[in-house]
Amino acid sequence: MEIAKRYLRQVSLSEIGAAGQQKLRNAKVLVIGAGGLGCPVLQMLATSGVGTLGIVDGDMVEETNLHRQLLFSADDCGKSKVDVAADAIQKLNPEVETHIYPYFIGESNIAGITKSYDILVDCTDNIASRYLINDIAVFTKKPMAYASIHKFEGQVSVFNYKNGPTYRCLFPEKESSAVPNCVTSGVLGVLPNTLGMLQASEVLKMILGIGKVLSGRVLIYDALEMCFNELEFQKNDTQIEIAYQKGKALTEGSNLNFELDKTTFLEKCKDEKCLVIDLREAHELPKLPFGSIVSIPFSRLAEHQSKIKKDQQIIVFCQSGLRSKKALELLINNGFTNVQHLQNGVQSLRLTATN
Amino acid sequence: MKVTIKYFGLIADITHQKEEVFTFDVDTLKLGDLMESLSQEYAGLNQASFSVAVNKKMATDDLLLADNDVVALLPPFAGG
Repeated sequence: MEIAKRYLRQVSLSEIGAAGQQKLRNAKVLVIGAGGLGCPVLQMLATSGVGTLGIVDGDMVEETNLHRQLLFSADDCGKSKVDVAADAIQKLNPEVETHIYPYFIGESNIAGITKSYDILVDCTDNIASRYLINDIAVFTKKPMAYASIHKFEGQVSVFNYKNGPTYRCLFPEKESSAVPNCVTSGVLGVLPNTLGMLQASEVLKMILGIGKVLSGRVLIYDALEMCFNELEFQKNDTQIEIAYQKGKALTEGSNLNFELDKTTFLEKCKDEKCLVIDLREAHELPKLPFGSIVSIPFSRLAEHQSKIKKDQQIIVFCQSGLRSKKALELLINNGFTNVQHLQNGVQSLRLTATN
Repeated sequence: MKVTIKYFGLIADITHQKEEVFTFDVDTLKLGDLMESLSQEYAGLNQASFSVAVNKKMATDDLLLADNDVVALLPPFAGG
């Protein structure tokens, strides 16, 4: 394999070499959150030659991001973070393939988004997302590279690495008050960059299979004291089982909960709050006798979806249920949170053709 | 016996210090009892979520503390 000159300094490390560079090229890493942590992680993984990078973030670039999120500049304010980040990565390293997901992860989309990646990097800014990532990581047997920050402090760890301890083992979920993020408590610009670099180091080590991965240990960094503390934690089988079951529900939910039978479908057609979309072409019969149904042929759904609110309750249907199932996946993957489709399509309604 | 306690993140915001040393007139003390007296000292701890390590390893309330042990209170951080 021919190694691009840009990688020579790392390929010359005996622990990496040409074989290691090929491992990086083959790796598929999903970076969830393109903010203070996500920017440095993306920068380092891209320049190191990680072949495929997924970027998930529903936010726009804001001026308050600029003191720490170095993929963005003043001209980018108001633009989608994932778009700007993907462009910046292309400039850093055109060999990297990027996939963008311009929305926040949630219960309805996390299984689909994470599916084709080997390593999940948690760069989010809230605890709920961290549990979601942990649970899908446990169920799908993927490692989760974690970091989080609080004012001048940060934590790093790797969860679920080779069946190791998980986020829930370290922090079992409790019904407690909200934990503040940077918006509420402020952050020193350099801090998330330091933590992101540590996180990226762990990702590279896992891909390369070198060194000792930060599994079963959480590293705590205090920038003001300039000190590192490390705490060990063990696997907790009860917590892992909770994660597994939740991860399973997240995965199966994307198939089960989104299918409507004909009775429920006909009720929904009369419900004014529902947006019911007929995905069939104009010539397909029978038409349904409900005035509220909107006609958007499947072939044109992608261009129309931007006009629909992400939390709108949507029902899609077609003739046999095939196109509507595809439309369901498309909408969910694009961040729509409340979508269902008519199982087996209009033919299951056994209506006679009318114009 | 002497026990050093380290506070991180939001917990240090509640205690307004990162470390303090407690001296007790007993030879052994359960971690759970220490935590109880701490939450009397700092009311804010009752609402906070955190894990507890003794001598750099996560521990449960029934662990018996010894002289010169170091206890750490680590909350999850949210920011990113």
